[in-house]
Amino acid sequence: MSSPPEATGESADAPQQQEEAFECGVTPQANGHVDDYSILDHHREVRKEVEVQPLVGPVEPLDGLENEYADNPSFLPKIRALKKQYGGIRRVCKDGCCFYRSYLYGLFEWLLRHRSQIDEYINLITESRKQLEAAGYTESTVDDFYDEFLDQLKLLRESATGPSELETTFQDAGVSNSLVVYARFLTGTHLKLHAPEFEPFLTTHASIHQYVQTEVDPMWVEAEHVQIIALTSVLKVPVRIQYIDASDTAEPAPLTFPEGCGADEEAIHLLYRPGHYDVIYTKTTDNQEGGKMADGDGQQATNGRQA
Amino acid sequence: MASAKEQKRLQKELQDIQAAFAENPDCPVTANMIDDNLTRWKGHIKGPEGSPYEGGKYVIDIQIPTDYPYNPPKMKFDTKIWHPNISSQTGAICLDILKNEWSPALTIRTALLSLQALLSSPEADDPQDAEVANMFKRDRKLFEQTAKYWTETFAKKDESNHDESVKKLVEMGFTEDQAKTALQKHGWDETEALNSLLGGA
Repeated sequence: MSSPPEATGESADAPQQQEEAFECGVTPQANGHVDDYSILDHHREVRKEVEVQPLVGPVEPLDGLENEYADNPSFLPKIRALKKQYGGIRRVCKDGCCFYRSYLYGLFEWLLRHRSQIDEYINLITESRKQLEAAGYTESTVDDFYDEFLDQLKLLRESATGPSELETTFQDAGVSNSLVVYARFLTGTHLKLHAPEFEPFLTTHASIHQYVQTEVDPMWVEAEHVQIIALTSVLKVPVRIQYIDASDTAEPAPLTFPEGCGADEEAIHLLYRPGHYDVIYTKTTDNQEGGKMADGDGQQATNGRQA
Repeated sequence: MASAKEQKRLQKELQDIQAAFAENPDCPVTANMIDDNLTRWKGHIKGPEGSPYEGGKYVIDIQIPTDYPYNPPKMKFDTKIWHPNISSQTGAICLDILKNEWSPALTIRTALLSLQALLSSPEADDPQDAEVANMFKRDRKLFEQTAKYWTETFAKKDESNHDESVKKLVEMGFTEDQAKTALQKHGWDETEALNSLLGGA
């Protein structure tokens, strides 16, 4: 077995790839039925291993990332370039929800820096519920997640959640996953209600409805650009994603969503390595140097989550 | 991780599904909890009209995982059925929404309705049971006859007699689930079922 020793970004994908290994029709023998549920159980075991990683970690210096890719000549220059602009990374669990969880973490941090906007977001989420119904999500399944999202915004408003509590909040699976589910519903709703804008870009799905059913609503499916465009359109705070991969360029490739938003707007920053997003923090933003980071007092986060 | 929130959701789902059935007895699906355990249900599906399963009543075993609703409920047919997407041996089901297409936006009721729809529209290209699927593709008439025969044999038993038998065993101190399981296993023969319950205890 001579596998390449260098840490490639793809290694982050392993659990995801295993997930994709199960599908209908994998057990074609009539009587040698491998029980599909044993496959699902295995799938769940794999996820449990993934879940040993906290849903969101503390802010760490980028040195760790540099060490991770020390032997990888295609990634390393990009990480060094990244270090000039960014001072910290907050790693997010590789469970398929990484984009959603990273972006939401960044959004909540953004709201802590823009407290006057919190009421507007409470209104936005309150209004969104009708939209979800219009898009076909049923009240009985939406309400638990809707209530949790609103409750968490209210905790921000009441200062019950500050920068240091935010990490604990997002590490609580019940809360954290509920926020992710609601973000998925917001994404699916935007796509369904703007179907004519998105349908021309579908290649493997017959309709936006079908796309949302297989690529947005299920819990552990990672986000593609379409989902990122939709969610940032709804939640409005732009996201700047630094892409690094095995290409031979020396700099990360940045992209900002939604397209056309002002370059000077304060964005949520995420790092994308193939298959995964984490939150990253610029050096210039805020007060977040050294000691502050250790408090999880993150400022700007770029986060990438893996699916 | 089955927190109070998830428990509440399950309770509400159960109420909703039973209320819908109470309101409209023609409702094709319902469910009940087993042994006061909120994570263990039995679903009930009526065989769809115009299908070889018409007139059959199918019992679905439902286990709800601790990470519900993020992950799907586990469902399988207790009642034997001849269908390309359901194992004729184990009752295991091949249905995308019970696997990778499950979403927290779905409910156990919607999953049962999807199962009922699957009975009307087999997907032989995505089989659970290759033998059934092959028959479905090669000899549709034989498939329909076999499916109907299985419906008559396994899904249309005289239920009033069954209820009596279950009641007798329950009066002897067994749970309803134990009684039904033993009776099903022994072809609804009360004596054999009782012996197995006493012997196996």
